[in-house]
Amino acid sequence: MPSMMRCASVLVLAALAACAATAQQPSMITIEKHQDTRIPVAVPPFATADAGLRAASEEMAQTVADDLLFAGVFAIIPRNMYPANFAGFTSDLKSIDFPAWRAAGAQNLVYGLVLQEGGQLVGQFRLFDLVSNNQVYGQEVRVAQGSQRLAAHRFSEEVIRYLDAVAGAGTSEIVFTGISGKTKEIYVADYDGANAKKLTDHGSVSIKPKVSPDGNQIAYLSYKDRYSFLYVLDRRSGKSTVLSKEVGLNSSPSWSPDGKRLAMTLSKDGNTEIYLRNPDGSNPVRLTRNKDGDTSPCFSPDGSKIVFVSDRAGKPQVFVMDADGGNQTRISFHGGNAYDPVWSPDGKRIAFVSEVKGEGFEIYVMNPDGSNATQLTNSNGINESPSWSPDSRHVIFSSSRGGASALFAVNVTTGQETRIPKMTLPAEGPSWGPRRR
Amino acid sequence: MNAKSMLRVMTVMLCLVLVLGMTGCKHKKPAPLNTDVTNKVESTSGDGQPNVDLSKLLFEKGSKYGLQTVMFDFDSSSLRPDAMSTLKDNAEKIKAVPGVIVQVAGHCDERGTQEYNLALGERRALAVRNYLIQLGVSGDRLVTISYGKEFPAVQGNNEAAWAQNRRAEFNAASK
Repeated sequence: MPSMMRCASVLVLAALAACAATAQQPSMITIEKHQDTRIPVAVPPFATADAGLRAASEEMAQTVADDLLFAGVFAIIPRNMYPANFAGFTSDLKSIDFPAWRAAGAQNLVYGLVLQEGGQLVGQFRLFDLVSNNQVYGQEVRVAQGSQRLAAHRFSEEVIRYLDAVAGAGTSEIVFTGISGKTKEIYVADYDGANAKKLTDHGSVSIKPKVSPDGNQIAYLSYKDRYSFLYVLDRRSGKSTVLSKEVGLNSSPSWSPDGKRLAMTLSKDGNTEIYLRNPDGSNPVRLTRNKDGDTSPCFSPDGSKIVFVSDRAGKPQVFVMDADGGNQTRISFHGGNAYDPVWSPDGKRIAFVSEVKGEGFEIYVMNPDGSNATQLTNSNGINESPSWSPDSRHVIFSSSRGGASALFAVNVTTGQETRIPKMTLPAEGPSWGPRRR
Repeated sequence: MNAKSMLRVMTVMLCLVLVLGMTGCKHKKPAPLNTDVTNKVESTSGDGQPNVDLSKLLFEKGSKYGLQTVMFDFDSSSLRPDAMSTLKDNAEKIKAVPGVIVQVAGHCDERGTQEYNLALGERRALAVRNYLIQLGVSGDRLVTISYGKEFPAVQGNNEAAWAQNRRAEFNAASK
C-alpha cells in the first residue's frame, strides 16, 4: 500500500508536470481534453436481502458513483454497458462474473451488501480489481438508520484513497448562506448539497460563515444587532456567542489550523486592518498597520503564514505575512484586481478571485509564491468566495452566472465545474468543512 | 322583485358608486408639493423655533433638514468634490441638532467580492466620518457601519445602477 501510494504520487506529479508543459503550448490542450484517462469503475446497485432496504441500497450505490465521478479521476460504467447476464448483486460473492465486468470496460468493480443489525444500517463494501480479480479493499460501515448517504460517503473516501492516493471528501460538509427574500441565514449541508439544515434563525442578514477545523464551530458576520458584528455558533449547543463587537466593521473571520485563533478584519483603529483573537473574543493582537485597506485573511495549513488582500499596491492584490504580522510581502502581480485568497489544505496552491476588466470575476489558483496563476472558471457573472475541499481537489464558490446566486465546485486538476447538485435554495459564501469522523 | 324595490336597490347602488368614486378621488389626488414637512417648519408660531422634531427630520432625505447621501467612484473611498460639498451641508445640519448620534453607512456596487466590499464600504464610511470631524462634528456622534454590497439602492448590473449603489447614507444610530 505505501509503495502503491508513492507510485500514485509519482503519477500525480508526472501529470502536474505534463499540465505545466502543456500550459506553455496551448495547441496541445485540446488534444489533452479529448483523452479520457479516468479509471473506469462499475458501481451497480448494492445487494440486500431486506426488501425495506432496497431504496437505501440503490441510493448508496448511486452516492458512491457520484462521489467517484465528482473526484474527477474516475469514469462510471453506464448501466447499458453492464454484462447481459447481470441480474443484480446477491450476498453470494461467487456469483460475480468478473471477466464479464472486465469485458464491459471496467477496471474496478464496487460491491456492497446492505443490512440492518441492532437498529443500525450496515454496509459491507468491497472494491475488486478486475485485472487480478481480487478484492483490493473492504470496509464495513455502521450508521444510524436513514444515514445511508453518510455510509456511502465513508466508503467512497477510502476507494478514492486506494485508487488515487488521497482520500476523497465525501463525508465533508459545507456551510453557506441561504438566501430567502431579504433574509440570509447560515446553513449546513453535505458537500453535495443533500441534507441541508438551517443553523441560525436571526431573521436578519447573516453572511460569510467559516467552519472551524474540527467542524464544530462556525464564525460568521451578522447584522442581527444592527451592526456588522462577528459571532461564533457552537453546533453542539446551537448557541451563538460574540467573537467581535468593535466599533465599525467586524468581518472576514478565518480559523487557525489548530482552531485556537481567528484572524479577522476590524476598523476600530480608523482603517480596515487585520487582527487575531481567540474564539471567545479574548487576547486581541493587531497584525497590519498602514493607510490602505487590508482584509480577507486566511491561514496557511501549517499555521505559520496568513495570506490576505491589501490595497497598498493601489488596487487590491494578494499579500502574505507571517502569522505574527511580520514580513508582509505582495505575491500577486495580477493584471487586474485580486480578492478572497484561500490556501489549499495541502499547502500547494492559493485560490483567489481575479477581476480583469471586461473579463468578469473568475476563480484562479496560483502557487503560494504567486507564480503559475491559472484561470479555473470562465463564465458570465460574479464568481466569488472560494473555499477548498479537504482533499484539495476542488474549490467551491458562489456564482451569480444564472441570475440567483448558486454554489459551484471546480476541480482544480481537470477544470470540470459542477453545480452543487442537491442544493435546493439560492446560496452564497460557502465554507468547506472537514471530513466527518 | 317589484319595480319599487328595484328602484330602491338602484338608488342605493348609485349612492354607493358616488361615495366610492369620491373617496377614490380623494385618495388618488397627489399631495401638493408645497405641503411637505419642510414648509410646515417655516410656517410656524413665530418664536423662531420650528415645532417639528429636527432630530427626526435629520434622517429624512426628502427634507431640507435631512442628511443627504454622498456618492463614490468605483473601488474608491476618496471623497469627490460633489461629496465634499454635500458633506459641508450635512455637517451644519448635524451640528444644528446636538446630541443626536448619526450612523454613517457605507455601501458598494456589486462588483468586487462580498468580503472585499465589506471593507471598501467601511472605508467609505470612515472617509465620510473623518471629513465630518474636520468640519467640526464631534467624533463621538458619528458611528460607521459597512453594508458591503448587501443592500443596493437600485437593482441592475449596469453603470447607471452601480453609480447609485456606491454611496454613504446617514441613519439614526441605535443605542
